[in-house]
Amino acid sequence: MTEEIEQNLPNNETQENDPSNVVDMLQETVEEFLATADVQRVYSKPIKKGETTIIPAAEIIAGMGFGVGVGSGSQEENSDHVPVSSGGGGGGKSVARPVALIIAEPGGVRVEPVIDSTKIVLAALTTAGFIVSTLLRIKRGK
Amino acid sequence: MDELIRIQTRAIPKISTKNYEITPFVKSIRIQPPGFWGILIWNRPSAIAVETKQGDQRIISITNYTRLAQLIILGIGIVGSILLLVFNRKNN
Repeated sequence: MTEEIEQNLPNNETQENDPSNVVDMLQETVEEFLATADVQRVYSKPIKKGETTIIPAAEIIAGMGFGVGVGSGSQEENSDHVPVSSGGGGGGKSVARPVALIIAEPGGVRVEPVIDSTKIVLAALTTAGFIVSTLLRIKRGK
Repeated sequence: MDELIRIQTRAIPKISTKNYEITPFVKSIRIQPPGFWGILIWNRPSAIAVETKQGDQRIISITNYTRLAQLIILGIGIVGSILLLVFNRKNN
């Protein structure tokens, strides 16, 4: 058992330090990430209630970035060993926000918007702050 | 070579209800700078095509009123601030 572990360790270390494995792992992450931002997810599954069908529609914003690097140090004295190291990092975020509801009734199909009042109030406050700061700058200048 | 910005409008599979066939459309914006390991995707609903069982068709656009309101408010703020600065300079 111990022998097996000892034999396997060098292979595992080699795999972990292999930059191509890091690239493969990142590629896998990107593919999973892209699946969350798939166009099919913009419209949810229809909700049926009696003769009415409701289809929620949302916008999806997804962004990510990452990088990998490999570097080597200087050769140690009295040794053939050149330290080589690799690393990688990244981050991403995916946001979905409801935009509208599609309501299909026997009388017709209509689109009801979903309004996010919090975002509108925040935009109004930001704008008010911007105008107030401009007014204060004008007053200070006089 | 991949494009820096790719804008597409795509139809996704039809949704059938008792009286209608609804074809949703998605506007997709994809930004992928060359030589940079990153991507930005913005998918949003743009319109639906409604077809009745009798064959009548109409298209209903989907507007994001929250974003529209945000842009109008921020636009008013920027224009208002510029006008304040311009009038102040004229008065001085």
